[in-house]
Amino acid sequence: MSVHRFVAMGCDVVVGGATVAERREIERLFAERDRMFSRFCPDSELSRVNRAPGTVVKVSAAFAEMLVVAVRAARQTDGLVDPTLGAAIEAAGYDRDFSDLQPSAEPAEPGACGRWRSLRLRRTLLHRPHGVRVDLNGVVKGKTVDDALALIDGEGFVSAGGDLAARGAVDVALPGGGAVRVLNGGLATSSVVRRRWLRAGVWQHHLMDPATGRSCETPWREVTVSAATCLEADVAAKAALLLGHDGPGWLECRGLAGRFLPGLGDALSVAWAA
Amino acid sequence: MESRIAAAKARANRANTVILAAAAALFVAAVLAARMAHPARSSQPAATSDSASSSRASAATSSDDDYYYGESDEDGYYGSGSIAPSQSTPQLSTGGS
Repeated sequence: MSVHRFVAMGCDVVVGGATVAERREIERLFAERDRMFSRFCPDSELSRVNRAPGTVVKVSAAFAEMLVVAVRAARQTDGLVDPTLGAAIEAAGYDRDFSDLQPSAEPAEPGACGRWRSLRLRRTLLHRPHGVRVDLNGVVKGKTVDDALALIDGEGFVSAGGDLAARGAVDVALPGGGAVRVLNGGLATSSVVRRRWLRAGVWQHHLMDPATGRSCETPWREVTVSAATCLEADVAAKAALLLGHDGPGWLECRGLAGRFLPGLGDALSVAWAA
Repeated sequence: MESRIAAAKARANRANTVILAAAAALFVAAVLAARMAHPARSSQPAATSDSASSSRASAATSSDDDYYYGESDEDGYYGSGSIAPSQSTPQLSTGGS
């Protein structure tokens, strides 16, 4: 199977099984989503929405569609994966491209808690209260991976930063050792040790607890979930990690397979066939 | 003569009543239309709490789904993926997001 690699959304993208024309379409899709939803590009639609002075702002149809996906993820996780934590993650210090983050002596500011229920969308008119900063990046990558796979005609896979969707068998190495064969569907890992930075000597990471507006505290270093799509796997992995000790039970209730890597000790598996 | 005046008064009173009723109905219709058209319209009290614990606890209503967030029949549904033990050297690795 031919494999093609490129960089988008601040991570490595790997595409397998695509024709040259399909690869071009996939690269175009990632670039388009990156331009629209980047928190760090002042020209992105996300930045424009967050800069808009009023409480009501007109958004594009594509932005509205992603917002619906994000709100659905929030509802499915009872607000754990919340699209209104833009201010919180900036307060924690993640206010520029990850590669540009430097350790700082300044402590992380307390962030705003999640308020996804305050969002109102009517067609392409978004209403959000003053002070709410939208961040859809909890779902953008997973949705883009799924949409990219849909552009491949036959068997293939798309992986972005290690979150992947596959049609046909592909073997995938797991955090902490071991591997799994994905036959069909999505596989995603959420981690508190990969994308992290120091503030006043305290590690911060990008998985924000919507209840506190701060980087979440969890016994898990990394949670890997298998689901029907990359989006579902990614959302479920984030929720399971945020839930801490309740994460394995939450996955089990939904019939999803997962692998929990704790800070200390052996990995815990839920319905994991590998 | 008096009966003609009384009849005219009665007609005028009926006309006033009709006009008042029509004005009241128009006012109510205008208020309802304005509420429907407002982007911040909510069929339930708007969430004002900053705590996610409250947002975790509260459940969405179907009227919210219809009006603001599109279809909701997929809510709560997760499909499982298909995985098996690895059989060859991994082509990819997961982890990092």
